[in-house]
Amino acid sequence: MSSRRTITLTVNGNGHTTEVDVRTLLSDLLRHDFGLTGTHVGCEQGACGACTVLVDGRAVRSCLILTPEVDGASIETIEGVADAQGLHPVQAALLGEHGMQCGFCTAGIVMSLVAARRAGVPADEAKTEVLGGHLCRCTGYVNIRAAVDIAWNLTGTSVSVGR
Amino acid sequence: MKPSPFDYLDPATVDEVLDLLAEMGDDAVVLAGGQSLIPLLNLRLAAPSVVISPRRCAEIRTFSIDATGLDAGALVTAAELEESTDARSLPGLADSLRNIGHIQIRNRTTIGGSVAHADPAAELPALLLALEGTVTLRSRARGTRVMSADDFLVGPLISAREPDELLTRVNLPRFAGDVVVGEIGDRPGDFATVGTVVGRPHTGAATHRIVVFGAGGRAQRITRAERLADEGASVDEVVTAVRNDTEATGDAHASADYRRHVAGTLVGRALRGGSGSTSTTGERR
Amino acid sequence: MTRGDSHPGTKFVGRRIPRVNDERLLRGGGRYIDDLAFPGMLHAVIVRSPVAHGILRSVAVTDLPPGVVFLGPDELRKLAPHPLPILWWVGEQRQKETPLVDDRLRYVGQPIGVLVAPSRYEAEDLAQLVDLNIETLPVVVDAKAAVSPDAPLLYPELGDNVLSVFETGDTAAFTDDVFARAQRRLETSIHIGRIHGLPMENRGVVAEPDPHGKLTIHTSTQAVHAVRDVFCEVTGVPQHTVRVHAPDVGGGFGLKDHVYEDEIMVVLAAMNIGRPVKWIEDRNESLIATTHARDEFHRIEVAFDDDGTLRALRVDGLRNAGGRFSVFGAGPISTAMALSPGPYRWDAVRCTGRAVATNTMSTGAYRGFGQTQAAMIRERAVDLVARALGRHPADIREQNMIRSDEQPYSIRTFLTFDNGDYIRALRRARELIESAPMPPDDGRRRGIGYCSYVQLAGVGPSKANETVGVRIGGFETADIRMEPDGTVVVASGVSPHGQGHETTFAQLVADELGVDVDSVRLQWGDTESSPYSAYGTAASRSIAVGGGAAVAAGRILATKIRNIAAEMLEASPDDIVLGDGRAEVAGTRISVPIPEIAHRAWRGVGLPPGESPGLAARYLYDPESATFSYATHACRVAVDPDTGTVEVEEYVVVNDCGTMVNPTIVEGQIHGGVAQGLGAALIEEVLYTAEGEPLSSTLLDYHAPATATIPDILIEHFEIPSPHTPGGMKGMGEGGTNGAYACVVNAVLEAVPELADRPIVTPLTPARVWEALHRPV
Repeated sequence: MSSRRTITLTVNGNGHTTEVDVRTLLSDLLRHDFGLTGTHVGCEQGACGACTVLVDGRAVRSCLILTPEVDGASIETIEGVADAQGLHPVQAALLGEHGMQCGFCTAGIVMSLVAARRAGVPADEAKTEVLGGHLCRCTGYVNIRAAVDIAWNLTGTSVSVGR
Repeated sequence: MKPSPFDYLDPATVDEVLDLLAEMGDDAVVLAGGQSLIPLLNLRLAAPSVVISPRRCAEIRTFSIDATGLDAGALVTAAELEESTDARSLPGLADSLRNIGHIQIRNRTTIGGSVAHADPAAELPALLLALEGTVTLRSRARGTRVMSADDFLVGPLISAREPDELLTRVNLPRFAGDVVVGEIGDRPGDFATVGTVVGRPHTGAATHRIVVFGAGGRAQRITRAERLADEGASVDEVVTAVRNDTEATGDAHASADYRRHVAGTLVGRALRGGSGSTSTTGERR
Repeated sequence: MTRGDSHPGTKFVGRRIPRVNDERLLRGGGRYIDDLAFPGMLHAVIVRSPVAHGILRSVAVTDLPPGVVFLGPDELRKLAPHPLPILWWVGEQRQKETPLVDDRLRYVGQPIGVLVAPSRYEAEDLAQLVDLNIETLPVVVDAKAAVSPDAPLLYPELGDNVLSVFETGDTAAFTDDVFARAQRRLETSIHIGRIHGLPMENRGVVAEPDPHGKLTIHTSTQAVHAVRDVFCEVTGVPQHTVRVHAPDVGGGFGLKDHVYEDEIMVVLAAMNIGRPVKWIEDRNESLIATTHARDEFHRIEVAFDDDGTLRALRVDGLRNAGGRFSVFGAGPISTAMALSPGPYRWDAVRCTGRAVATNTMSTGAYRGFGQTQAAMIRERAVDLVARALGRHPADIREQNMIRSDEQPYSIRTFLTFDNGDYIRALRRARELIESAPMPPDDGRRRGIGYCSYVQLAGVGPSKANETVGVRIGGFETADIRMEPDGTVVVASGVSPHGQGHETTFAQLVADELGVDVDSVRLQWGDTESSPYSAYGTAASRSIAVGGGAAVAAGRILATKIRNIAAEMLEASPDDIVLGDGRAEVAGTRISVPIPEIAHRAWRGVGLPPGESPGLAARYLYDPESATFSYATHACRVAVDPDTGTVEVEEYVVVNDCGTMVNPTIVEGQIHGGVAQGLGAALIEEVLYTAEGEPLSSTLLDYHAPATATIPDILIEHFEIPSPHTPGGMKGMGEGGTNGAYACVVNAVLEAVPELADRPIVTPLTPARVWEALHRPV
């Protein structure tokens, strides 16, 4: 039956083999089948960026990907960014700079910025081109841009955040 | 919203895709990057019974650049082109790519998908037209057809691709000069309210190219303006020709007059030696 | 972000403490409505009107698979026999309630029924089987057209489309007289465009029925008690059997301060089926059928003298209310009128207005709630005066500003401003914008704009609510309980959806009790444990009224802690100081850890005479007055005359919102508010065809501000505490929007005076700006 398909994919380092309805959006697979609700859905049109995850290292809209398209792919979501020791510099910077308010758009922004920082994208481009692919209705972006500057000045991939 | 039900087929070769299209092309859509198609499925504005994905067809995932231009398989993504130093050297390509949505869209959107979708406000179809590029279409019924951009881009979201055809390659010739892309919109990455692609030839090597997109039902070459530019007319005369000859429609966002006028403005800026520009309410890039 | 904290004397209030809930959200641990799942849960879709105006003759669906349920208008009417109340009655109000479901369809998207299936995907498939038989009627979408004599009528029984008529301020005769005696007068008009508040999270409900116990309604709302009030009123279900719970909420901005018919339909479906049912709104539903905002046309007249003295302001407004009043009725436009005088002295102000029904989605509460329009109306009038006299816009403002020593000052629309140094804010904003470096000439036209406003915040005294027609009280209650181990829970009726209450309330209470901010937790968003709040989180009231209640309750509890400490330390309670987790006899090293006091209190022995066991306090704060925060915004724009694009190059805010509990959070609210003001003034617009078809149904059509739209914002504060709020907070969440809209419009009009000579229509999109430059009037 070509309306169902068994796919194998890696999510945050964990392998999954699962049968899906081929029309299932990746955003729904992650959120409802795998319980990874940190990725959020804002529009299902690719316009808001809230659903952004990394597929094979690239920031993409999970609401615009049918699950069979990621058969064999490696996916990273917000749940896989921080570790037990601490937050990723992008996360730590957003926390320190008050770069989030309601938090709904935040995971998507984190994923895009994590990929950009990893790829050596300069901070200026991260603040314009990369952040330009995300809508935030709460912060007005000012503090998110400040957080990019902070995160780009930190080294490493884990920052322990004490109080 | 969620897509209507469909069957999904992803054969490993172009030949198999062509067989499927021959059998069910009328009821099928071809899924490339999905950045235009999936939004339509998610709104149920398209409800095909079959989605055919050529994503496993290695032969349409590569590209090459040489002195004559870019030859790209249909599934090459905008990001792959953007990241290639060679591709960026093709006049007009980097500018066009930079204006397509955002990096998160460009990581998936494909050159073939974009051209086949034929959105009148999209950059790659306009660039294809300006560079006098071609597309390759293959089918069981008609074999291989190589079609000019002008013939391929028929109207708004309408191309000359038959339902049983697969667009396999896009060819962008190397323009002997500079190619400058300008756009007007509300925000960077938005579909252009109006945009232009202007080819400024190195002396004597080629003729001018002046394309306006986002104004009418498809990207359009303003041939009279091109001739005037070739004949050495003043920039003002060329701009006036653009404004007079551009076919434009008005809508809730902008009048036809606005689109015609701004098309002229963008062409004027390009001819006066400007580099690529995106002007939006907000910041200029 | 290196400016210092504002309250060196207190421990936590005034400090830029990072928010306590951010790490959870950053790690993906937020629990928003669509993250909730329950055993046996089904999924709903809402069936909506495809037409803008018509009579629903029949609804039929056949061949539904087993387990799939559809509730149409007939079933829903039986389950919801009472109408939804409109909670704000202004002037002559002709619509005071609306039914849950109506056979008369008045806007595209109007909810008709609910279909429930095992998955959202299947529910959408099956919804296409619902057959609607509709007799269409002529459509009117424009408010002016709706009041013309031959307009199609949405409510034929009313005879016209006017849903309310009202006025405020001085009488017509009095105002006419002031106009007659003034030396000059000018007039203008402005259409303030329709927008969408656009929280990034759409609405959603999960209803968990329990036929042997409580019905639980999980909902992405700003006001859990309001949801319960309306649901129970509409259905007759007893309140004590209903629990409403708000999970993490991804933005609201007023849109989630309404209770919607579709949400109630989902709950009714769950009760009917006896299983949990989830409904998550998608973005195009939201853009079509979640409350819109503004869409007002104002005619403005200003009378003044040659020396620049403002004399009188006359405003006549027409608000497009949509197909039916939202729960707040004509509240927003009447608020616009009430705040129109702003921080200036006027001899007379008269505002008249009408709210009109059209075949569009309802307009209702959204950040500013009319005060954005008030600022726009008045600041445009003031700029007109400046221009006519060849005077600097800031000079005209300062000349006419109410001085601190003139306050309390009663404005012509019956509000009394208590304490505010408006001139200080204006002067400093002017200094900052004029000293911003000017770029070299690049062919663009530049202009500086100002907006000075006073914001009515901290809504509000229940008595005042009643006077203005608000049919719910404005009090807030805080329940504070110190647990036996000395940690603290604060239960409040307000609930955060991005404002950081979890942190600011903890700061307030920690200071009152002398404990660490990490040992105080805010409990919110649950009718089971949150004290009753009819108003919820809205109207810039949370920190002033909710926080004020928390401070007051904290003081009561602190008194008890000191009493018990005094008993333990054999001292007088007046000599006990709380701080750093200890109760200390002032001037000595004699102290006891506060947890020991808590332990003793809950053991119930060894307490001072007359002191009962336990350590909890409740305070119901019904404020004696609303509060009045204020600011001056100033900005500089660069307009490309050939394309009409507008770049905001510099933006400054000088703000006084009283005591700032957390200056970083205040600044975040200003940033977000300014972004919404700039977006609405420049690029956001909800459009319909003349037939009532929504044109702005995706985020590709509706342009919300992106990072490129919003410059960095320079903010300075000073703090003149509210004279009556415990803790001195005034509240300011909406202020950024109120200031930015008028500020940027004025700046564009400075840069492009050609625009000022004609009726102004916002948003000032590139095409509109260009038309003004290239088309003579």
